[in-house]
Amino acid sequence: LDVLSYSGWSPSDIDLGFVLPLNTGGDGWAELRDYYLPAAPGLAREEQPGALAFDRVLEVAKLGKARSAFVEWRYIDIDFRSEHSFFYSTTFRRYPSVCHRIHFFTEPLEDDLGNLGDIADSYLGYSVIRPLPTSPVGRTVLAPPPHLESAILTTVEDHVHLNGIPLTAHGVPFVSQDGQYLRCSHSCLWSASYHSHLRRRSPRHLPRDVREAALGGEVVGRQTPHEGLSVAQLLSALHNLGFSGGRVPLPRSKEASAQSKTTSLPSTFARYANSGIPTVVFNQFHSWLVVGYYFSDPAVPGHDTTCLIVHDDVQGPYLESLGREDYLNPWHVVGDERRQWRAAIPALPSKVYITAERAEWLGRERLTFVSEKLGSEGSVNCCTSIPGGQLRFRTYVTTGAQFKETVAGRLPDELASFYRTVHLPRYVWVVEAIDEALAIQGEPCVVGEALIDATAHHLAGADSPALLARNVGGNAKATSLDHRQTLEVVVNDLSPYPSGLPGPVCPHLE
Amino acid sequence: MTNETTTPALPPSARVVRAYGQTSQVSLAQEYDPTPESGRRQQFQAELERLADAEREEIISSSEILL
Repeated sequence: LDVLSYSGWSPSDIDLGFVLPLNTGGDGWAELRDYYLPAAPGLAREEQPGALAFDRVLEVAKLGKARSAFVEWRYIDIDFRSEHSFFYSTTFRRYPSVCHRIHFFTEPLEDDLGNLGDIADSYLGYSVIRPLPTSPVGRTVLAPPPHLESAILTTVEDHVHLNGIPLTAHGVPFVSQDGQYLRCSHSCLWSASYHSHLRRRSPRHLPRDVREAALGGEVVGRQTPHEGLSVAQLLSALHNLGFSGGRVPLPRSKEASAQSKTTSLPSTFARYANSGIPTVVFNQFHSWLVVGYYFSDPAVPGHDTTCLIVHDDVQGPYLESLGREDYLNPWHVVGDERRQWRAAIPALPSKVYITAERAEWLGRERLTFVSEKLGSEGSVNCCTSIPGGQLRFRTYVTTGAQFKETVAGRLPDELASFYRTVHLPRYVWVVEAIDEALAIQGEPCVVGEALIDATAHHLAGADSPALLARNVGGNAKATSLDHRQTLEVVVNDLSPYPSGLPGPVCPHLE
Repeated sequence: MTNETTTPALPPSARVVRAYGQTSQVSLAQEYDPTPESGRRQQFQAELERLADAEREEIISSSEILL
């Protein structure tokens, strides 16, 4: 396929594209790969520009057991149109302004698409293919590989139409950089923005918007073609795109990480993944997104067994950190100044002023204090009966409304009524106290929680009004902010209850 | 007209809905460790300051990064 040939890229207006059988005994995968990115003479596949991301997209679809693909020609992709309008239309060489879009299905697709409506449920997602020979992978929303189904992932739902049939893709948005108009940080920013658009109905930002948003901060190189962003530009872009991009420094050694009370590397990413928020991470020369995690050993969920799931715009989507021998494994590059993971920048909603690390520190302090105090007074409940130091904590941000919705059914009526009538802000940090032994067994394991005002002072002290409410084993209390009125509820014999988050508390591969 | 210091009269048929729970004289702030200089409070504050220091350090040392 000659991407840049007018008739090659869009061979016909009456031919819509083609159906390709996959995983059916033929060599459909190789045919699809060679159609867009055939082997380059003299170059190893990993050295071929754009090949790693493209091959990974195909691999993810293959792992998802795709049995057919429809390659849709002449797809007008709003994101590439933005790139084209502001960059590719300015070059002497002509670039097509239309894209292709590959749709993957786990069921066979008839040659005339006649059964499209019947197999809509088997839709795995899509990948837009740009007319850029060295960086074809554009906007992509593809279901994660099935073995990651039980992981915590920042998955969103994307609705598309093909020939009038609505299709729904579930996945974490991905796009690769082109090395000219979009660099790695732009890709991260675009993915985070599109994710937020789908998850929270925030404004839709196109590549041009992302680039413009990144023009603040310290500009350290040429912007067109782009030589790369400074961290200041990255942060400025997040702000301009409507995020509150807090910067969380990461420990410089595995030991320091394991011993850290608040910023252990795996816990940092887990808190934001729990919240459904992708997190940008960077080293000295590259940035990528952490989009989920799981524990590789379900019996020992913890620091050393946490496997992070990353989107790397060069290497592709849904890559797993553990066991890798490159910069995507944080423990492989410890001590390597250039490749070491430096900091995490979660794409927090604009009204989340306090980071997860500070919220958790505040919440765990209060939960621990009250649990010890109640225990010393002879009160025995599901929280105080856990020996000191053995409580575990799980933190996530959610909306006040969503939190209230989730208390019904998982908490006794009294506690549910208590929480549902507490004034809560748009966003709250929830710090759950966890009985780890129960969590490992997959049983209901929450024995208390603290609710932290996400708009509280980011240096909030231990007794500040940032803490809106707390429950310690059925002993719950909330203090209002205006009149400082305090209400409490005591539920005796409370049993551990399910987490407010869907999915397992100790995610591991089934 | 009312202002913020005036409690408006309720409509005669109105029934006030109250949040769930028993009133308590001990607020969330008051229930916490009452000793201002306790080791517990100092430990809490020290970690907050360590976090702030690490953030500042990261900002200062990130000038050579190109992404």
